[in-house]
Amino acid sequence: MSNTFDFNRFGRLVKYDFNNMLHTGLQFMLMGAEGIAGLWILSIVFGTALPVALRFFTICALTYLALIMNTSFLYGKVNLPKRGIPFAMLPASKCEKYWSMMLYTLIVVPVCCFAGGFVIDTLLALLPIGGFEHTIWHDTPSLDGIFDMDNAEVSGALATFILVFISSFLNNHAQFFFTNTIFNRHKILLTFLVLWGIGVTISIIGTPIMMWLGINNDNWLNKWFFDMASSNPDQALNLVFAIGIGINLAMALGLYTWSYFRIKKAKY
Amino acid sequence: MIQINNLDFGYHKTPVFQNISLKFQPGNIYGLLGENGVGKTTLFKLICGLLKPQQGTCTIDDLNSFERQPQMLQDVCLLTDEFEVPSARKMSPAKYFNSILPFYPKADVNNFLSLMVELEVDPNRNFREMSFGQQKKSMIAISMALNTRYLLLDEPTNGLDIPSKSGFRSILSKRINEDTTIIISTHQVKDVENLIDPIIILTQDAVLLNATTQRITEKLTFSYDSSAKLEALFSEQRPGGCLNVCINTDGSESEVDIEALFNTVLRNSSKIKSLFNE
Repeated sequence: MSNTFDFNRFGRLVKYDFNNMLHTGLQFMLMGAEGIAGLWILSIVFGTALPVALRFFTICALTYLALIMNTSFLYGKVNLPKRGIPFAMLPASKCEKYWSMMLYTLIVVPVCCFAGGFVIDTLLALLPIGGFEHTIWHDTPSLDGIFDMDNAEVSGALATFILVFISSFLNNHAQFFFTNTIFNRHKILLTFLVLWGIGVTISIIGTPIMMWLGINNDNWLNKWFFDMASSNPDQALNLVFAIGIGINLAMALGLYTWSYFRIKKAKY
Repeated sequence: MIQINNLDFGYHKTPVFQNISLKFQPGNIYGLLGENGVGKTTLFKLICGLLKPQQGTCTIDDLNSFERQPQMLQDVCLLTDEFEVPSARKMSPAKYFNSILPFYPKADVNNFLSLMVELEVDPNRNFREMSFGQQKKSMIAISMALNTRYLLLDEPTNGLDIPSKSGFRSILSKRINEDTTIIISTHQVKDVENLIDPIIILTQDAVLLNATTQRITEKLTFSYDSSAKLEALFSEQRPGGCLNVCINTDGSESEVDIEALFNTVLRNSSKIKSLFNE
C-alpha cells in the first residue's frame, strides 16, 4: 500500500470527510436552496413576481459565497496547534487529505449549493402560489439569448464568459483555501482584509503607471495594443480575456501548490 | 520501536531539548515524568511527527515521524491532555469510533464497547452532553480500542474520578502486550505507580533518568524510618514515618516510591546521573 496515495484509503477518507461534512457543511450545501426559498417567501409577502435573472443571479451569488466560505468551516482546524491534531494524526497521507479537502470544498459543496438552488427553484415555480412564474429552464426569454448555442457569436462569448467565470472562481477559492492554512482565527474576515489591502496596494502602484502610459501614449505597448484594437477589436478583447484567465489560473495554481506544502509541513 | 537520536528542539529561541537520545522498546509502559514546562507534551508531539526536530532524528519503526506516513500513523495513537472531541452536534463516542475504525486495521469494536462499559460511559450519548471526565473516559476507551502498537497518553488520569482511575489502571494493564509500547506522561504518579516501568525523568533540556524499576531499586533504597537519615539523598516526613531515599550499598530490596524518586532525582541530578551511568 502506497504511503503517498492509495485509492482504497482515499475512498475511506472521502467517506470519513463526508460524515463530518454532513454535520458541519450541510449549511453550505443548502445555502442555494434556502436563499431561493427565502426569495419565494418574499415574493408571497410582497405579492410580486420575481424575474428568472434575479433568481439565477441569487443562486450564483450564494454558490460563490459557499465556495469561498466553506473551507474555513469544514477544514478550519487543519492548521490549529491543538485542534488540528486529530486531522494530522488520521492515518491517511498528506496528499490524500489535500485532495479530499479539494474535492469537498471546490466541487461537492458548490455543486450541491448550485444544484439545490435550481431544484428548489424548479419545485417552487411549479406551485400555483408565489412569485416564481416560470422555471429557470423553461419559457425564460431573459436567458434564451445567453444560452443560444446555435449562434456562433453568442456561444463564443459564452465560452469566454464561462472560462473567465471558472478561472476567477478557482482563483477566489484558492485564495480562501490558502489563507485557511495561514490564519488561526477569523479566517474569512482576515482574507477579505488582506485582499482589500493587496487591491489598494496595486491601485497605488498601478495608477501612476497607467497614467504614465496614458500620457506617454507613443510607447510601443500603447501603439501595439491600440493598433490591434482598431484593426481587430475582437482579437484585442480576446487578448484581454486571455490575460485575465491566465493570471487567474496561474494564481490559483500557485496558491493551491503553496497550500499543499503548508499542509505537508504543518506543525502542531 | 521508537528511537530518538541526538535530538535538538526549541520554540523560537528557547531550547527545550538539546542532544537527547531515547529508545522506547515494545512490551513496556513508560512513565514520562518531569516538572511543568520541561517538554513532556513536546516530546510526545515530536514522537508523533506533529513537530519537526531542529537537529537529530525521531523515528517510529525506522520511519521518520515528521513525514506522518499512513503506515506509521495507523500504529500510533496520541491522547493529549487538552484533547479535542469531535465538534459535530450529534456525535457520540460510538459514532466517532466507527468513523475512524476503517483507518486502523487492528481496531476492535467489541473491545471498545466493553471498555465503555468498564468505564461506565454510554457509548451512544452525545459528546456535547458529557462532562469533561466522561469525555476523557470515552477518549481513553477509543484510544485503547484502536489497538495501535504505540499509545501515548498525556495526563490520562486528569479529570477522572476515583473509581474511573482504578478502571483506567485495570484496562491499561490488560492492554499491554509484548508488541505494544505505551508511554504515559503524568504528574499524578500515584495513579499509575504500579504500572509504569521503566521511568523516564526529564528536566530542562535533558533526560535525567531512564531506568527500569528493577535497576532503580538496585541503585536506590526507599525505606520508612523513625527519622531522616544523614546519608539520605532525599527525606520526607509522612504519616507512617520518615521516607528516606538512599544509595543502595548492601543490595537490599525495596519498592520504588515514584514521588520520592522524582524529588530525589531533581535534587541530586549530577549524583543520580553518575550513579546510573556506572
